[in-house]
Amino acid sequence: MRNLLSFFLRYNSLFIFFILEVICLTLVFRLNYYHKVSFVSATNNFTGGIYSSYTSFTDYLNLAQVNDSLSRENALLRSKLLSSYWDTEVRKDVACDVNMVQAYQFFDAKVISNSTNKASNYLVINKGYKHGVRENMGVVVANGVVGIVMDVSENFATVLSVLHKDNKVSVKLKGPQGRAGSLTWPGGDSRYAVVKEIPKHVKLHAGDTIVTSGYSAIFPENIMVGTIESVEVPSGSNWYDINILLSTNFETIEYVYVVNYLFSEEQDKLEEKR
Amino acid sequence: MSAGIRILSFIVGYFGLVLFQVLVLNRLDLSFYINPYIYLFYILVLPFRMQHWILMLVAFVSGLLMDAFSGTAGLHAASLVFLAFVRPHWINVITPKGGYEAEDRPSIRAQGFSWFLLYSIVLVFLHHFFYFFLEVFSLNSAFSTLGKTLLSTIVSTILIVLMAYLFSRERKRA
Repeated sequence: MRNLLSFFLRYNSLFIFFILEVICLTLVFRLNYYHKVSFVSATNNFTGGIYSSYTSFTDYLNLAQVNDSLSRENALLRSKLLSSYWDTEVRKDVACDVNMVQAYQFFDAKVISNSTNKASNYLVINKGYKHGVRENMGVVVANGVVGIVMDVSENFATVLSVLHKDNKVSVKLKGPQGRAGSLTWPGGDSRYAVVKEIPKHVKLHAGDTIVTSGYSAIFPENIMVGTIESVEVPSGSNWYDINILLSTNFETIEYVYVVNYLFSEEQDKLEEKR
Repeated sequence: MSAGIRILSFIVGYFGLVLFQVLVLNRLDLSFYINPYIYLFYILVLPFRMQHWILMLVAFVSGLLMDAFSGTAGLHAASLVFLAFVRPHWINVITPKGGYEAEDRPSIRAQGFSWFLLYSIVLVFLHHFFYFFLEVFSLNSAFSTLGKTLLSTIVSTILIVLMAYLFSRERKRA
């Protein structure tokens, strides 16, 4: 106690200094509007900085969910696109109001496994039988084709990639009455593929767009496939070998859409009769 | 001069100085960078032997008076208490060889011009520094505040030295 007292006595001026300063600063921040506001805003700056970095961190954690919901929404919107509907109007001299019927549905799916460096490449997606995925459905991304569903399990599906030596996709030149050909992948670079079966009297230019033909009933018509990179005519052949730059970036593929062609059964049955 | 008269003359003199500060200097509007404060002259020339805590208490009350006039609750009081807190330490640092004698308070006549200039310029600077930074209460404009502090310190110190001459001559007559 005596020590404490002597301590206070020894440093009394320091204590009085602090007491007086505390009184003064209390007055400053209590009674001066400017200082009150700037004190609050200074502390807000500090705490606000902490809050905003915390939020950006939690936002980052939520990114996966956000992506999922966005891609679900995209699939829904795609299903509602005009190109997913068919005009069923039978041209008679009768006025008909409702004549668009939905031909394609899109499910969104996430790629959980993917390869691009083999001769036969496959993808695995996280949607399966339970979600309505069936064999021979097409798989696309926003700006290109990906492949065709090959095997389906309860929760997953294997997709035969366009980058597979046995996969053939029916394509055509963009535009009305574009000639159809078939797309194959010779192996090697995942960015390039070859279109064959286009006769050499058709005029082609580098940069022309290749889209899906819609003949195969796997992909809807006019989905972007790629652009012409170079054109060759093998000697003695009537057909072009067209090198195209694929619009799908297979290296970074993450979210895809599975195309459900609603008339596939009907079309298959009909074709079997031939 | 008895203690009572001394205290009374201090109060009256300080009051007059505050009025001069508020009515004349604060209205001069020389420049954004030049805001001289000379009301602290009276704290500078209080006796050497005055108790430290009394000095700070006097500074506190004097500062509050200045605040009352300029509408800045606590600002002047805080910086003046800070000045009073530093004053004895600074006086110890710059003690001349022979110590302080004869005159019992800092004055330009007893300690000489250079001592008084050194004595006042540092304390005025510390006071102004404390005051201006507390006034803006932000480091965003730290450089302009520092410039304001330096320029105002120079002007204030000149005025305070002039005042020291003025008052020491008066004292001689009395």
